[in-house]
Amino acid sequence: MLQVADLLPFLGPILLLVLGALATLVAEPLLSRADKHRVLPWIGIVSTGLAAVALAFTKSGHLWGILAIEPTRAGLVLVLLAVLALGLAALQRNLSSDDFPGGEPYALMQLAAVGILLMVLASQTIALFLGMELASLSIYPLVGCRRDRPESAEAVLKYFAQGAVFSAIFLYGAALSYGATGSVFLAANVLPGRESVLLLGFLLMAVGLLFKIGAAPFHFWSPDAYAGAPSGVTAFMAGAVKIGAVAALGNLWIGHLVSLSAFPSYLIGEAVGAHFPPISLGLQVFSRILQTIFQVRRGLTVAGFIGYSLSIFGTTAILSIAIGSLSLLGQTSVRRLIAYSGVANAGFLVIGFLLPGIFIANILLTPTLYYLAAYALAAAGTMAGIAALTGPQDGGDHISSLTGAARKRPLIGLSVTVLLASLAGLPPTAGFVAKFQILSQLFLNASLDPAILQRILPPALQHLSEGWLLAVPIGAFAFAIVAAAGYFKLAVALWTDPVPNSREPEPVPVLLGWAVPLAALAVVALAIFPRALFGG
Amino acid sequence: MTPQLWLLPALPFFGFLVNGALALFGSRTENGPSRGLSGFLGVLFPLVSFILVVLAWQGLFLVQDSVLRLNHDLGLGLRIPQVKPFGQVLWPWMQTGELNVEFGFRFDELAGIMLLFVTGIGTLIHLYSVGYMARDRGFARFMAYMNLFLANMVVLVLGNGPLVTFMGWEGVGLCSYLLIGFWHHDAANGAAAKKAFLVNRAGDLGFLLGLFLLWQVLGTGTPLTYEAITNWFRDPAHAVLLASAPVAALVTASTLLLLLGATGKSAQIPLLTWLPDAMAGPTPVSALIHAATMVTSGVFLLARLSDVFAHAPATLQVVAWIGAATAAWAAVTGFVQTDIKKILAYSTISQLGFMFLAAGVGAFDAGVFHVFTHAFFKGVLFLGAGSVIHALSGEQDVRRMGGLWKKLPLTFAAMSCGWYAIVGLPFGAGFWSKDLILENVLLRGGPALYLVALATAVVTAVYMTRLMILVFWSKPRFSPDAASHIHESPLSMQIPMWVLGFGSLVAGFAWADPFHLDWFSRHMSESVGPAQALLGAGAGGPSPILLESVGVVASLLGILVAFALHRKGCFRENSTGPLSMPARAWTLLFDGVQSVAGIWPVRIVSWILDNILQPLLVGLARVFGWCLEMAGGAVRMAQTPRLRWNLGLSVLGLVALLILLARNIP
Amino acid sequence: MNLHMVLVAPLAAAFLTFFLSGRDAASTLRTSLLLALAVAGLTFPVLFAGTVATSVHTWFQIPVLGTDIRWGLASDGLSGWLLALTSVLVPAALLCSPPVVGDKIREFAAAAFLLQATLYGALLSVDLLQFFAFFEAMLLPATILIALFGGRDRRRAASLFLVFSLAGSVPLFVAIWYLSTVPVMSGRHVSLDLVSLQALVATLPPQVRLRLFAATALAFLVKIPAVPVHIWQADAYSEGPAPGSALLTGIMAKIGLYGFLRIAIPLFPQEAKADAGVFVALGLATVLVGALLALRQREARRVLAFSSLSHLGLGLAAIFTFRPEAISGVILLMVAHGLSAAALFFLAGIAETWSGSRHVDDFGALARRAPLFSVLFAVAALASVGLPGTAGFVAEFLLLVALWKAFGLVVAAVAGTTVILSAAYTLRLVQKLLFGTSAERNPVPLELPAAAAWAVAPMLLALVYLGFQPGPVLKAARTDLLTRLPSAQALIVEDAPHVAGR
Repeated sequence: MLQVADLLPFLGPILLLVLGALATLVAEPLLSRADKHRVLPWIGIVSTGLAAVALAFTKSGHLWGILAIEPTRAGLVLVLLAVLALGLAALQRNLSSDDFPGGEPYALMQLAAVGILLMVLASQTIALFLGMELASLSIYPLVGCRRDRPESAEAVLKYFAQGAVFSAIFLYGAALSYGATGSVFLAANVLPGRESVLLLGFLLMAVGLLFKIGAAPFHFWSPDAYAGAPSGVTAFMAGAVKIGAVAALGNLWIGHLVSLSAFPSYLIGEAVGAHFPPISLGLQVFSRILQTIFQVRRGLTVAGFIGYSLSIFGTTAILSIAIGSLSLLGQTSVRRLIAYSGVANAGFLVIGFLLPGIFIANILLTPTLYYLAAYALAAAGTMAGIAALTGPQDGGDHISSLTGAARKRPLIGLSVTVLLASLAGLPPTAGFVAKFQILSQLFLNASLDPAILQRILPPALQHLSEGWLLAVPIGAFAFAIVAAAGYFKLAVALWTDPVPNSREPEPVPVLLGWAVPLAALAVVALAIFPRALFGG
Repeated sequence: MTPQLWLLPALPFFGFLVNGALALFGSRTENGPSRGLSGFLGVLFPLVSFILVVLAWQGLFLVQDSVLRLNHDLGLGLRIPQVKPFGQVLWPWMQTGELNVEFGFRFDELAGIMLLFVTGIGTLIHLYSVGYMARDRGFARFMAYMNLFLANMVVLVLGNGPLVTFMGWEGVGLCSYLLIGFWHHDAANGAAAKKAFLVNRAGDLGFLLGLFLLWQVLGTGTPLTYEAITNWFRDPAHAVLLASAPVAALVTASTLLLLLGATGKSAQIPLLTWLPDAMAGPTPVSALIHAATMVTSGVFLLARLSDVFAHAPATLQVVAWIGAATAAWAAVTGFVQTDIKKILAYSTISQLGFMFLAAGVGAFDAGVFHVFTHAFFKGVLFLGAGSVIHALSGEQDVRRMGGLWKKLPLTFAAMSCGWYAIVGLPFGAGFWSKDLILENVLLRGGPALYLVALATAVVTAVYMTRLMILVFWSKPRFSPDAASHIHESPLSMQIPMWVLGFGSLVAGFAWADPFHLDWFSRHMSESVGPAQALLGAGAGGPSPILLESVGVVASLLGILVAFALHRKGCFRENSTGPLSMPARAWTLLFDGVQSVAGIWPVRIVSWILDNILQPLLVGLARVFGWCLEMAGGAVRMAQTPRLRWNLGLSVLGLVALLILLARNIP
Repeated sequence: MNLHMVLVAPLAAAFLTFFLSGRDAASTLRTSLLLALAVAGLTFPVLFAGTVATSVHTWFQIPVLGTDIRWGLASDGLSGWLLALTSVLVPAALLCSPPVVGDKIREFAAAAFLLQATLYGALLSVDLLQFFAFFEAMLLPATILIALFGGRDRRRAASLFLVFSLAGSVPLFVAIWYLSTVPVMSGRHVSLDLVSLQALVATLPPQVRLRLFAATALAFLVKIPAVPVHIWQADAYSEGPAPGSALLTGIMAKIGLYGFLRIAIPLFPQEAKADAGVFVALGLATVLVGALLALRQREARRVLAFSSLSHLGLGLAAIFTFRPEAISGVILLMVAHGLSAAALFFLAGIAETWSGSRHVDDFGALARRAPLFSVLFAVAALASVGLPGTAGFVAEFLLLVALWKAFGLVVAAVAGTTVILSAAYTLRLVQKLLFGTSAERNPVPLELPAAAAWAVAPMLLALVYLGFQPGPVLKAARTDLLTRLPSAQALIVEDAPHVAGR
């Protein structure tokens, strides 16, 4: 039984963020309209910074199995805080530039961050759901905070409607999982004979989270939501929501593996059934297809469970990468470009769940989390940079409206270029290392010892050739290059000669002016010291 | 004390640098850099290097010998002592793998003889140009190019190995390019220059490839120096090896490729088309480069590698017939030309043909001797032509001249000497050399070649006499206003003409067997003697006197024919307009061959590549790009703005996944 | 000699130029020029130091696979000369850029420095993935160079270049994945640094090695480029800014040949030897296609682009003779072509600013109007034609020797046609630019900017000097290079016994 003394350092980050949000809300009415946007963001930043400091003092542990934290999660939380800072900085620029009457969006963003923090730490469905809803409910108003704009209203409507549906789906999944295990913990022994129920529950929850991640075919909300929201909010969503959802999906995934392997554990950090053989995305995608063709029916073994869930992940991953990258190509709207880049990268993140590393003790999701961190920083940083570069009232979503923006603000322009390069997976940025780690591991399956393949492969697949297995990572990388062509257009637009009669842009608030280059620096630093965040 | 051979090319090169700087930095001033200065320097440096060559003959580079030699020479007048070959290695040039080429020079008698008239006549023609180009805007540039040419020519002759020679070889080609295109505002001159360079490059490729094969014969370990090559071929130990079929074939192939290079430089069949066009350059250029020196370097190469060619009899046959054919063809062509410089150009080709013929039958020394005498008389002929053109302010058509001997007596006198020598009248320079060649051809080459050569000699006499008649003796045909300001050329142009004219009368006595003057052959013996010994002197034929008289008769015959034709009015000197159709067909024969064999295939292939291959590849890339764009468009169509569609599609996706799953759950 | 300093120097220069330089072009030029010279000052000691290396340590480890990705820098004769070449061309490009890029000099300088940094990285890398990272990073500044300062179609040209290069590097990337997964199969713990890779690759089954070799080679073929993956080149070189194109062809293209010498051949010696014929054929095809296309181009810089194609094709063909002459010759070729082609691009760019057009027929009579320009241009042209007395001749001669020794006279003759064809298209260009009559009605005298003259003249002097004294470059190949390529050293062929078995 824990003592409160132990509790405080453990809950420190959460409490500090909540306090920050409350302080913002309290201070908001006391300030004049102009001061709101000058002071409130700083409150948020300070609380974020304190949370980061508190994070340093938290030691691994768990809270009655509801919330758990260990270095890996701590790393994610750190990234989350960075994204929050970027979001606040960009939001300040948006709101002050169109002289927003209220200051509550800052508080909302911090509350959303708290929700996502809960999602990261949760190792129990209820806590997870609470965090998810707290995040969503604070993000909806953020998306629609500019009521006077039609696209904003459209965005919030679509996001809310679809979000509600998928929350329901998640909840249903959670219920089924409870029914299957008799416990709300993500890692609980499955009751005999209820594996299929557990499976269905797991899949429904997973889908709910995939929706948050924005993976195809559950991505339709993201372009509209991104396009309608203030660029600051887009920055925050692009980064933070994915962090929460991916972390949760990770917990969910590992947890259910644990449940099935009848190997109780609350912490990701502990050894998780090293006896599971490596199973690959490509393998499973094709296994599903072939099995459906050949009507192969097999009882639900652990491997089978993994196979089925992997097939879901695999399909969504491939779909996301393909759809995201292709949609990037002809894209002329900056926010939609970021949205589709989010879809494509979601695909790569989901691939991360298929890595053999998952099944081997103590290595776990490292490549995925590294990718997640790289992506979150890059996406949030890019949008924040766009917020700094676009004209007043956050106008001009069309790429051409950014023509020459970087020439006027070289530092931010350069940072955005670097961040875009990271999104595209070009060196010398973290995006490159991340893609390499994920894909090269995925590639392992192609070079596996045939004997192992014999063991894992369902009979229908015994004839799978190496070429088939090569196809998936290579295809993924090829699409990544297609996407690069899409980012290229934005980067070039930033640097071409400005329109002669364009007036000087209004000054960028100091917060944002620092945040964006720091993000770019972080992305490069992550590439040079890849082991900084999660080891490995 | 090591011989400072590097000075010989370095001096003219320095002249080039100085004059080039003058030309470059004087170019903005409104009447160009000072002509006096650049003219003086332009002549000075070649002169100094000429003096150095003479000193080299005296062996003064080798002090310890020179003292003895001077004492010994006192009172003996101009008898020039034997010079031992000596060389100077400047630095290692290419050293990698087993390739080990050193950059150095080697002074032996063959090089020495060439250098004597290259620098000597070179100096004279530089002097001539001072007068000829005096009023030209680019005077300094001209002198710079001329100096650069001289430097390269010296490198060519003096190189200690084929690669160093090749450097000069290409260098002179470059200068010839620059000088032919000297008046570059006229695109035609540029075209002529380009043609000269490209045709020569074709030959140069042959040179390089032939060199490879030669190197293979020697064994790639052997250093690529003339010394090593000659020693290797002269080494009796290699006789057996050289006799073996593969090596013999290799030697033949290599010599044939080297011959290609030689024909390019010396304007022989098949690479001769560039020389007539090269007359677009200023006349001193034609005299120096395209008559006296550069064009003879092909013959020089044959002599230089005589030991190699001696082991390839088949190649020598080819050389002989190429020479004969070129000589005959060019002589006839020269007969139908109307441009005074073109006539001389074809005459040059024809005479070079004689030299090749001599080399081909194995009389390398006779060939080089003709190079030597030809330098004098063709030099003076060109200089005279230049002075005529100068006097007629640019008129080059012999049909617009005539009766000039009254107005330009000095030029007339000088050119007459040249004419006397080239037609081969007794004791003229050409008389000795040409008869040496004819004699050798008969003895070593057989009657067929001899008859061709003899006939060519007759035709030579005919067209040269025609030239003299149309320019100097017949009735004046130039326009009166041109007549008004006809003037004899300045002294700077006269002196070279006199010297060369005198030379073309007496140069032949360098090797006049009847008078037991064999200075030339003695000095050639070291270089080409063994090769000629190997080839054998041929059966003893009719007496030299008889042959010489036959040659004289031939030239007299030619002269008479010329006068007869003139009387019958066959020269059509009063007609104007271009060449008659058969004449042009005959003249452009080899241009046609070249364009069919070389130029058009290249044009066609490059057209195909440019209009088919490139668009195809680019098109493929484009199509691929479009496919991606279209796929993107298709995918984005799924992203409808309608909420119900979005939601529907998402849920549909979920359902699809679940069905996919459900089918597999028992 | 701290190689990391050398690697970081251009990067720092990029940022300093970018943020410290003043608004006006002149001061920017001064700043960047000083920085470039400082970088060169740091670089040349590396060249003279011969073979130097830093300690190698683990950059990161791929989880599960346990493959070490190493980080370390090393330089030898091959790298050293290319580093030196780079450090010379960058300041030269800066000197020649003002007329071309105008007020965008700051961005240009920064991009050039970035390109230099990535090139340094690629040239100094000891690890395959490390090399690949820089190899890819190179695309960023290169694309910026093309896309920001060029002509009308520069965007299309830039994206064509980018996509082509990215697509070309996919196979190499895949090959690296594969190699990084090998340890799991073989159960051994290895790293991707080139030395240990040589041992690792040797253990792979032949058909796998063949695939890996093909994948690796493709990436480098695109970079050089070689027929038939050359179509990005002409557009990129003619649409980009002339000084930028000079950097691209002068240095970036060389990374392709460097890759063959440093990576493809040492890692896969047997495959390289077995398929030498293919690459020689590709190289010769490149030589001929490039030359023949250059004959027909209507734009000055397209002529130069295809001439580069042709010259580097000769290098590609010669590398696969595995002869010492070839290796020395290729290094010299890279240096010589780097200098001469860059000089031609610099000058052509300035001429374009004069005539306001890229079409060869819009130039003319520059010999009268701009004598200094004409002298420099003519010398550069002759150097690129490979006239004896310039480095180009020595290089081409060595390459021809190698081809002849390895494949006989016919191949050498085919390759040798470049001697004629290069003269044909280069002289055509010279005639069109310098000679003839001016396209303008009343031609005024033109002044070549002194800066450009000061940039180009030393390069030409260097070309002439190396033409007479190529010793240092050739020696670099003989000594340093082979010591770092043990497996390649095994390839260097001894001479066949003399024809008569002597």
